[in-house]
Amino acid sequence: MGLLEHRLDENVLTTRIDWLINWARLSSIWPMTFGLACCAIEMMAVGAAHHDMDRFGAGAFRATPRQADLMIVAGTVNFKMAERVKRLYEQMPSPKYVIAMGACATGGGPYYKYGYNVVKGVDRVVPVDVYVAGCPPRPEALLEGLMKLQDKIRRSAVLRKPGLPEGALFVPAPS
Amino acid sequence: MYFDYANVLVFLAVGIGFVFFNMALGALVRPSLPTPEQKTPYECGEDPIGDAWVNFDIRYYTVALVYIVFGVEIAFLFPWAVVLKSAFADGRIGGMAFVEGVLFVGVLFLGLAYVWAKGDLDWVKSYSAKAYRPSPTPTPGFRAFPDPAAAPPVVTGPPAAVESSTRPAAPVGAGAAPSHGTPRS
Amino acid sequence: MGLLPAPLLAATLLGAPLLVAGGQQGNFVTDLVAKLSPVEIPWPLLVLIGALLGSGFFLLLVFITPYAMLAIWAERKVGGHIQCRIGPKRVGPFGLLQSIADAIKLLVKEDTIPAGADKLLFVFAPALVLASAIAMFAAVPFAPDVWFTDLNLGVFFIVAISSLTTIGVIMAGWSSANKWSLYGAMRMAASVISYEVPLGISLLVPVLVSGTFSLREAALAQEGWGGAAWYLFRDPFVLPAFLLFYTASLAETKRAPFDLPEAESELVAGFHTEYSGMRFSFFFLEEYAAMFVVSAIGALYFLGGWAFPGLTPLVEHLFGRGWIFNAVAIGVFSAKALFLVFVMMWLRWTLPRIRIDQVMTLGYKYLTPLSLACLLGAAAWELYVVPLFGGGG
Ligand code: SF4
Repeated sequence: MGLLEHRLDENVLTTRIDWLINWARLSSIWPMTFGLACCAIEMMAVGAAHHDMDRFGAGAFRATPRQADLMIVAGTVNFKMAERVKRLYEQMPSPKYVIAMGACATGGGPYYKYGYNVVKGVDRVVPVDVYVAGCPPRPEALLEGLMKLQDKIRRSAVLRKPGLPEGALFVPAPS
Repeated sequence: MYFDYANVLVFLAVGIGFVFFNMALGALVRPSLPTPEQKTPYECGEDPIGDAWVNFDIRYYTVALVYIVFGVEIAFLFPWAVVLKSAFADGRIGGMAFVEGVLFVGVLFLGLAYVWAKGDLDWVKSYSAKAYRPSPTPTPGFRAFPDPAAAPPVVTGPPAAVESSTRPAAPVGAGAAPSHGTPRS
Repeated sequence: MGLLPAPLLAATLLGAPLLVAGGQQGNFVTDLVAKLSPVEIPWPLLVLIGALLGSGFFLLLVFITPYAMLAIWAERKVGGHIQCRIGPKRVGPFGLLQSIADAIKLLVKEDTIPAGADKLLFVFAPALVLASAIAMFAAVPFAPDVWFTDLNLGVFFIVAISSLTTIGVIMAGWSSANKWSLYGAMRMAASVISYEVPLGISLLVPVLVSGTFSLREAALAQEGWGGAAWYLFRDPFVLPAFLLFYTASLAETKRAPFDLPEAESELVAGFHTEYSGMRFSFFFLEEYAAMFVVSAIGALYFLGGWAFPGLTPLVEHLFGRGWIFNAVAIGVFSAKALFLVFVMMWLRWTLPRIRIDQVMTLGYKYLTPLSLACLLGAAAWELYVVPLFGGGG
């Protein structure tokens, strides 16, 4: 834990610094190059020309978890892979975020009933920040998930103690 | 002149200091939640197998050896190149300096040609038909494949059919070729 | 304990100027300090202040960091447009704040050190890499009177210091206790040392033509009303030498198509696989700094330095060689160097990565003999053809 992290009370200075750090974190979410099944194709489409995740600063796909901030679990997580997913998640440096993309990663999806080998939702393995529905989700849906994640980061406390009232000034108006 | 080198030393120190200053600055805020899993080396999500400090390919060593020759060559050529023109212009050296330079480069080029011909510049050393000679003494238990001693394989049907994925059913009975892998005798 | 040598090293390095500083010729920083300070500052102290201010303020804060941020933004933007995308655009106007966001994020990101790593080397590798980048910058003159050090070794020094980067990278790869890192580092070593040969030899061509190691003097020699004094147009051997130099410098700076040390599709992230957060960003910073340095050498040695046909002579004619001329010179020089950096980005997003055996083949079988031929050709031209036209200098 950082020397000042979550130690300070809420005042103008800490909220400003928190705002700055949160702004930096949400404007540069580097995802990990990581795809499990059909949803990954849609994830690639998000990075490609038409949808271009790089507009949000989230286009720098890093091949190593050490430099990634976001794990997009795009596809079916079976039991064999779940172990690896967990390890990759652990190897990412915090703060780290997870988007469960598609019905499979959210809750087993089409394999919910008969998929004896499928984890019924990746949130049984790693903590998930944003769930994106669809089978597969449209690229727009993943972008929406990314923006939801940005909203979540925007509200988080860095220097302030968690649990204090959030700096209302910086919470975006609900859309 | 000393001023310049002293300057460079300070630049080096500031460069090193910049890194540690930034790391210290980040330490104020950056989270640190290490887990034993996080500390394992990244090996694509697998448990790492063996030590990371593995024995390395000899080819890198060859490259380093070749480099040493040329690195020294460049170090010798630099002073030559600097003074060549001015010294020639005011007559301190004659055309001999140029010839000597050509000779020096020529000798080194000879070395390069030697290494080249020996194949040490090839990253992938292919064993061409010329270079590869199987040992004349047969290893016990060694059987060439396809076995020249065995009967030639019987192929039924037109050759084109064999090429395609619909292979004809293997002929059963006398005269059949020994199947791959399992010697009959 | 890992940090213990750092202050010692810094003390030694910083103390050195006080001990060795002789002579009375300073650079523009010391001149500035001497002019501005109300009291007389003794010379060795002036050297120290000048160097600290020069490296810490002028170079690092005023130049390298903004340049690197702009270059990283430009890289993503150029890459985006080449791939028919837009690139960063939400973070600040035109996405210009993207690199700042990246930098702050990396600063506050957790710093992971693998359990089996050699901690001392792991911590020092980025520092060494960045320090060598800054020392390389120190030898680059920006304008006739704006330079930090005017080493009599000049370009030789830059080539030598650039190998320090390689050592840093190998330290990083070795100490990470990761197979990918080790592979990346070994590839880096192999490709860099093979390309240092053509790089050095092709640099000998302008060295031979100018007769000096000093980049500043070479650039001064290329001034003139037209562009005819540029070494690029001097004889038929300089242009190929420039192309060879540029190709080799791509490999020296680990740029595509020679970016094997960090080839993402084969080696994850190469030597910086295990580096996270700020430590990783120093490798990034170094890469862009090295790109600028090799481009600057190209601009100074081949493309006429700060001379631009019609512009710089006009400024000199109107205002003399005062600070206006120097300012224009910085602009022209940076424009040329940045153009070369842009071409590097262009190549990266256009060309596919080549295989390691192709890298080796290209380096030793094509570039090295060609650059040797260029060198001998240029030497013969300078000695025997130039006098025919009555030239001599
Ligand atoms: S949610 Fe649908 S598209 Fe996505 S991985 Fe599962 S089956 Fe494939």
